[in-house]
Amino acid sequence: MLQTIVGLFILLFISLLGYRKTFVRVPLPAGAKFFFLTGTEFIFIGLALGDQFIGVLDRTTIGHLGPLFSLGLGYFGLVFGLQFEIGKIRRFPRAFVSATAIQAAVTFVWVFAPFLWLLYQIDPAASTVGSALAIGAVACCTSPTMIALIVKESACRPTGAVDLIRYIGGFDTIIGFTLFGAAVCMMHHAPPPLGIDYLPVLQWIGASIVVGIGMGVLLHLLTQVHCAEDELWVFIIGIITFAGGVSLFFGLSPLFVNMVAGITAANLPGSKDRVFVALARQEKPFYIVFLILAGAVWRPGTLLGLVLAFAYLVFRIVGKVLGGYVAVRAIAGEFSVSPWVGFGLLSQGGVAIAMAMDFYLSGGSPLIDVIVAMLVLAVIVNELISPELTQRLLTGAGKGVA
Amino acid sequence: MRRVAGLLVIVIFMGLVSAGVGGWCHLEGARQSLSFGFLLIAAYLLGDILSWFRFPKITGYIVAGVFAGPYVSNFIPMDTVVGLKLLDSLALAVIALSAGGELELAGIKRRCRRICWGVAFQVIGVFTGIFLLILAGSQFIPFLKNAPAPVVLSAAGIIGVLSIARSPSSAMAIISESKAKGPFTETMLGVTLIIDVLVIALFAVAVSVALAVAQPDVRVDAVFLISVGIELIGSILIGIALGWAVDYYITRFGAELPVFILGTAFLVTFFSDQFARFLDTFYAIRFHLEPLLTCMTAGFFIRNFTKNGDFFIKRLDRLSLPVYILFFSLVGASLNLAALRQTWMPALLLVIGRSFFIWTSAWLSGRLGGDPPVFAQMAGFSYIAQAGVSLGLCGILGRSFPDWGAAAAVMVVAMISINQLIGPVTFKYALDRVGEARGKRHATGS
Repeated sequence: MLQTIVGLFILLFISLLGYRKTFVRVPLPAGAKFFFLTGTEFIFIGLALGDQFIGVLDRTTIGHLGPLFSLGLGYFGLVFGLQFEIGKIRRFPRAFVSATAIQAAVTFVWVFAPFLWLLYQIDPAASTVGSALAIGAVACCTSPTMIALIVKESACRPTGAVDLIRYIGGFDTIIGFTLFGAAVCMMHHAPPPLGIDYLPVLQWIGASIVVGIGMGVLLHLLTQVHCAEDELWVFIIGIITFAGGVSLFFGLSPLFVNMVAGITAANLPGSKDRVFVALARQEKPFYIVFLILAGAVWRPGTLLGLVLAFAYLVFRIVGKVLGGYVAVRAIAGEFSVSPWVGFGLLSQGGVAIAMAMDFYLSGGSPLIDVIVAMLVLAVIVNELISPELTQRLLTGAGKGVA
Repeated sequence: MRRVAGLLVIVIFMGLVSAGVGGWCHLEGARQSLSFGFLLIAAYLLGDILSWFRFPKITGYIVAGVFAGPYVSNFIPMDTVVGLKLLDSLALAVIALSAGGELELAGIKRRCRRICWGVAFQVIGVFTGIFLLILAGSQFIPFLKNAPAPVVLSAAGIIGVLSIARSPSSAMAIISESKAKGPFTETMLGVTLIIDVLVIALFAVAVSVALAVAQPDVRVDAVFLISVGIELIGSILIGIALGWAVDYYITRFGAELPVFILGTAFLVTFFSDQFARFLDTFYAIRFHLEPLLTCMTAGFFIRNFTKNGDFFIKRLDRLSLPVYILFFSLVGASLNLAALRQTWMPALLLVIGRSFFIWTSAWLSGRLGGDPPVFAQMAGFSYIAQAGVSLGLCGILGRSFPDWGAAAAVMVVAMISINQLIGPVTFKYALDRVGEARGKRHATGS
């Protein structure tokens, strides 16, 4: 108990202090500059605090931080879900939707298939399909925050490529979270919720959706009438922790359940902008908490983790570039941009970290440590290389493509 | 209607979760997370709904906690309630900071005479009344029936002292919700806070005397009494130091004050507990700093002896809504309804007797202190609520007197449970009647 309290205190202290003092521009080369600008250094702080070194945030302590996990994961899920307002999405060209779906599908398949084989070779007894599905789902996602940062730092003029990258970055995460929610349900070992041993995975997916829709309706009911700022926060925190708690309690994905809640609330009549704005203001502390926690559970020393991380990076980069290429070719008749748009979609940031933590909590695979190590390492490398590649793409695009 | 629908949705969900397969929970804290979210929303909504019928919101928070707790629906089992105790202590520390900050030195000086009268009459009147009531009715109280005279005297004395205890947290919540301000509120808050400190010292005296009365070979434990005195003085001194530290932080940095306040409350609660354990384990000394008193002193110091008082109170106010919701809903979930079921009859008689003595003492002190008649009539309604300190003292009662202490504690806990339910309602009524309730305050979510 003592260690949990001290661990929690240190975690909150660093994140609240950190979010004011970090995300700063350091005069360094592009990769290293973005490393600090995105707060990736907090992964290493977490690593130092974890059981590999100091031990304040060891695994037992992390296990006790359930409410914090459900709050953080739920936060990310809700934020992404709330952006999925069909009315707003329709304002963009239809080609953008097709491009997002094609790009995500190609990347997913390109990463899922080899990892299914690889994981089966490592441990045939493990839930290889669920784990590979989860890895493929993480690979799909792009960090919209990072893209926004890079676009801002590059100071490039608005072009079709910029719009497309930002659009894909915002919405391929929805696809990733959905696949991830299904993956967590596949790894479920408990009896199905309806008690009938028929299509248990679908039953768990259905349960996730029902809980998510219920929470979305509740959020809508409570926030539609104007309420004071502190009331609004009571509702938001209450719903996120409740939905997250239900998810963790039944072994579902808090990211997916809260995303469904966000999508539901976003598409019911009435204003949800206040909820989104309130949530968006608190992004950095949540992000830092997850970076630290991810660092704390990270076991970078495993050779297998390093090999898998390398494989994952290669497959994901190729998958993204190929996915972008196929997507641009598919929409060529309606919209013209550089076919190498995939180079602008490599950054992952907080999205991948949140998914890695959700996977860690799912506890459904014996390969959890290796997979989390792989995903965290990949995020670090991605944050170093993706800004340079995105900047090059955007600079090229700014000179006249699209 | 949206609030009612919202409440129904979340209760149905919680019911389904609880009635379901019992979860597949491999993560400690998942149930806590679920309960935390449920209490936050359900308690707030019920408080809001009850406020339509002129009930105080905290009654809704408490009732929601009672409903969700282990004795009614068991949505939140006992181990989860215990697991959420850290939040409870944290919330209490924040409320104590707020209560101390609400006391203005100028106001206290102005109403010093009335506050002193109030404290003196309440302490003497309620103690004497309950003491005599227990003596007179000892044959109707199961654990005192046929007990020897020293035991009856000891029990009467200790229950008399416990009946004096009040609930500053309930008082603060109602004042905050009603946005009450004025001489009646100032006097009432002053009396409540002073009595809550006094009761700790009086309880120590009562226990020492009772031990000496019950066992003729034991003398009044002077060391115990001195250590209680040191505890109180130590808590006040640490409170002053804490107040100074918070003021320094505000002047020097100022940013993220709510987080700093929560951190401060956490440190006070946590370290007073750890310090007590350390002394007990390594030196066999029972010494416990009172976090409530420390935080009240800190709040009082910041408000009255620094330039940042108003800023501090405003920032603290922003935290108040979730703090009150969590604290009072957890109070509700912890209310021992099993104890109430066992001893409801003597407990109810005690509640009626205590309310009568409180009202009479308050009326007398008001009249002698020169208060307007309506103040004197309503004052008694403001002091009914009980919680916090008195519940803690019940635990000591059980440990100090193994023969009858536990049974007495069950009865007192039952009395406190009833008082905690009716106290906020009567206090709000009193504030409405004296005209100091100015309407709903933003901080409690109105």
